[in-house]
Parts: sequence; structure tokens; C-alpha cells
Amino acid sequence: MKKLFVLLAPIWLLLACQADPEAIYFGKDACHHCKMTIMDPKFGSEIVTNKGRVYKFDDINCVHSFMAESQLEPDDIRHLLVIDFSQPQELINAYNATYVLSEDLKPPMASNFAAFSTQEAAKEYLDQRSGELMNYQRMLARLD
Amino acid sequence: MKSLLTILLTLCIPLLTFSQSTNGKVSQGASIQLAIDSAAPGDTLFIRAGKYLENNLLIQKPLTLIGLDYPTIDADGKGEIFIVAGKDVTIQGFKLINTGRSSVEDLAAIKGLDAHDITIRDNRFDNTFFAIHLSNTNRALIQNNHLKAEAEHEYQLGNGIHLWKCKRARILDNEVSGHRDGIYFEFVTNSTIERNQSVGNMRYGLHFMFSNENEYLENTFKNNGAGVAVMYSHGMKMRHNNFEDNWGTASYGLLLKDMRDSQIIGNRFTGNTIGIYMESTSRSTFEDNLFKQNGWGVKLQASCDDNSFSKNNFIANTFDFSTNGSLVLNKVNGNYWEKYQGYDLNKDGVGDVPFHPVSMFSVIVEKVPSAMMIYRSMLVTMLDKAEKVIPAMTPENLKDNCPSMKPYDLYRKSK
Repeated sequence: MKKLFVLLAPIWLLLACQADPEAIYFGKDACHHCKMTIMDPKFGSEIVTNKGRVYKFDDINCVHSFMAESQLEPDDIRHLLVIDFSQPQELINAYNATYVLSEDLKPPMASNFAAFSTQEAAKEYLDQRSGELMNYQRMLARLD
Repeated sequence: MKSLLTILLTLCIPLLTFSQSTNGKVSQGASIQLAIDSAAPGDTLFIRAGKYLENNLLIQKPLTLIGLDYPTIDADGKGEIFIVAGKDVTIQGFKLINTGRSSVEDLAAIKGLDAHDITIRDNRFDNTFFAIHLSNTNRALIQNNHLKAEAEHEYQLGNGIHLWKCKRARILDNEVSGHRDGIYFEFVTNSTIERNQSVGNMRYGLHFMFSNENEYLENTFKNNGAGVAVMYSHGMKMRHNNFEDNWGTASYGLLLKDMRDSQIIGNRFTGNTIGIYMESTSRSTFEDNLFKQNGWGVKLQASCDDNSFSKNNFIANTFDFSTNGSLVLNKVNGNYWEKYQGYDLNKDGVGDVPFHPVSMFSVIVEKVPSAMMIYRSMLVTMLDKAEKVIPAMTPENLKDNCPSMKPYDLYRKSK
């Protein structure tokens, strides 16, 4: 019985591999598109495919260019995540996030976009600065 | 009437004595901000040696500040030190330490906003977030400064010299270490970076983003996350620089991404994981460079076109040249390849058979990086030999038709 368990354990471990998001290691991971080391914990993005492959990015426009260039279909994507500007290093669902477009943001690839988990947080940021509020779809349209 | 005049005069006496007796000099215990505020435009202020606990010193008029024997200005972890928002300011001979750190603001020891013709010379920066941060500033001169930073986490580091939307800057003879990017240019044009040492910075020794028509000469980039990154820029001149020991999994001597119409001439790439990594780069010239003891000399992605490589020396690299496609739109001609095993019957110094710099195994490693484990095994050596006779995997058109039999004397040329 014990032997059987030892034999089966690796197989069980392999089966346990899932397409789960992975934390971005700031200062170590490089952006898959622009090759820059990801440094700024307020910006970043991640794609996890159905096969479990993880792609990391430093700015939202790199995600956009990568999707345009690669053969990745929307159906292949299990998770599309962005860093929450108000909670550095925290990855949130990109489709539900609220985006702010502002000259003051200075993200690494000059997209001038930041993502927020809630509309309130985004509005709070815009209280002191000028900029625009938008959802995922409108943000994408702006990047085109 | 007379009494009124006397009163006025007596009121003036402290002011007069301040400017006369101190002769524009500030000593320890006095306030530098007060001296700046009471100085007339164009004045020179001498700051005597000592320790000054001050921050956010605002300068809005032409002024020369000279430190005598390196007076220390300590911001004690709060805010910035000098904020220059006026033309013709000189800051010379200070030791600036302990600026604040922030995740929202770019706090700097010297912050310049529309500070045209600013001169920053002979200063020492220690434990600063950003050391020098200039925006919308033309004709800045940054010379002979020592910049040093340390932090527990990478993201607590700012850039050493950070320029944003500047023109005609000159950055000469500085030493930068321990920052995120040693020198960072975003939207900067027509500027010169000469004879600087950028060592041990977390990300890049020098980093250009959307910055055109700049040149950098005779700098040394050593032990950085990666030496230099040039991105989304054109018209760059890179001459006689040293790219040394930039070592790591995602590390490069020089990273080129979306760059065009540039010159890379007379540089030395030694001991880097990848000497030059290039992607979407076009119409650029690579001449008289030395690639020695790198993992990869040049990694050229198939998205590059119209570049020319000539008169370079490739010596003792694991892989001299690698690419990820079979279509080759770049010229590689007349280089010296240490791995070349051809002959020269007519003794004109040029090998009689072409050299294929892309080895079969580099193609395999490009597809399956972990295959590196079996490199230098007998099987690989045999496959490489077989591939040389009958090319099947390597791009056949990527070849040097006139390989030099002897290395070029690049040292003499650079003198």
C-alpha cells in the first residue's frame, strides 16, 4: 500500500498542476513583451493561459501589443489580471477593474493608465489630479 | 521726518550687516533657505562645512550655491533637498543625504522643474531615493557627481540621474551605483552622456525610453541588472563604451528594442550573459566592437532588418550569434570569428570559405532553453559538425562571406 502511494504521488502532483495566477516578483521578473525588468509595484499585468503558462507584463499597453502579435485567442486565456494601483503588488481581475488615464501616473511604458479595484478608489485618486475614468472596454479602445 | 529716517535706517542695519558681515557665507546653525530667500538674483552663496538639517529648499531665481569642504545637508528621511524652479542655478560641492521615499512621488535630492541651464557639479549623494530628477529642463550640465543608494527592497529605489522631457543635457564624469536605473532618459533629445561609471544598479546602467538623437561615449556599465537598454528611440550614437559582467538570466550588455538608424561603434562587450539582444531594430550599424567571453555575443531576433555587422571581433563566446527565425534580412560581413576554421590560400587576409556564425545548438537552445544542460556533450559536438556539412536547421543565408583571418586591432583604433 505504502509503495503504491509513493508511486502514485508524483502522478497526483502532476494532476494538481492548475492554471493559477502567480505573484509578480518585482525587481526579478521581466516583462514578456518589452523585456524590461518589472520594478514599479503600482503597475503590472499577468495573463494565465488554459494550459497554465504565465506571462507577466510591466504595463497595460505591453499586454495589448502582446495580444495583437501573438496567436493567443481570447478563449485561451484563463485569467487576465492587473495590479491594483491603490494596493501595490495586488493582482485583480482586469475585466472588472476601473481604469484611470492621467498624465501624472508615469507607468513604465508611458501608457498613462492605472487600474483600480473599485470606482471609489479611482475617484479618490482623481480628486487631487486631472484625468479620465473608464472601464476595461473603453481602455482597450484607447490603446488601439 | 528725521526721526523716521533714523528708524528706517536702523531697520536696515541688520539686513546690511547680514549681507556684509557674512559676505554671502552661511555657517552651521544658520538657515540655508533664509540665505536663499534674502539673496539677490545672480548672487553666489558659500555654505561652510558642517551639518544642516533642512529639506525642500526652494530656489526660484538665478543663484550659485557653493559648498566649502562638502557641507552635509540631511533631509532626515523627509521630502526633498533642493527644489529648483528657475533658470541659471548652480549647485556645487555638497553632500546630500537621506531624502524621503514615496511610492507616489518621485522624491529627489535635487529636483529641477523648468530649471533651464542648471549646473550640478562635484556633489555627493548618499541614501537618496532619486538623486537628480529633472523635468522640462534644457541645457542641464551634470558633472563629476558621486551617486550612491541602498535599499532593502528593489522598489524602494529611484533612479540616479532621471531626466524627463529634457533637451541638450550633458552628463559627464559621474559615478552612479545602487539605484534602480543609473541614468534614465524619457523623452530626452540631443543629449550627451560621456565618461560615466554606472555600476551595480538594480535594473539598467543606462536606460533610454522614447529618446532620440542622443549619444553616449566612453562610459563603463558593470554589474548592473543589465548594462544599457535603448527602447523606442532612433538616431542614437553609442561609441567606445565598456559593457562588463552584466550577468543573470534576463541580463544583457545592451538591450535594443524598437530602435532604428543608430550607430554602435567601437564598444567592448565582455563577460555578459548576452552581449547585445536586439528586437525590432533596423537600419543600424555595428562596427569595430569586441565581443569577448559572453554567453551569447549577439542575439538577433527575426524582427530586425537592414542592420549591418562588420569589422567586429568575436572571441571566446559560448555562442557568437543566434537568431530565432530562418529569414535573414541583416548583413553580416567581414568580421573576425575565433571559431572560424577555414583557410586563406591567396593570403589576402580574408578566409576563402564563408563562415556560418549561428551554430545548430544555439537554434535548439532558442527553442528549448533547458537543452543547455547537454551542451558540450559529445552528441552535441557531433550534431554541430554534421550541421556544418549539411545545414538543415541553421539559417543558410546568415553567413559571413569575407571572414577576417586575424582579429582587428580595435584598441589602436579607439586611441
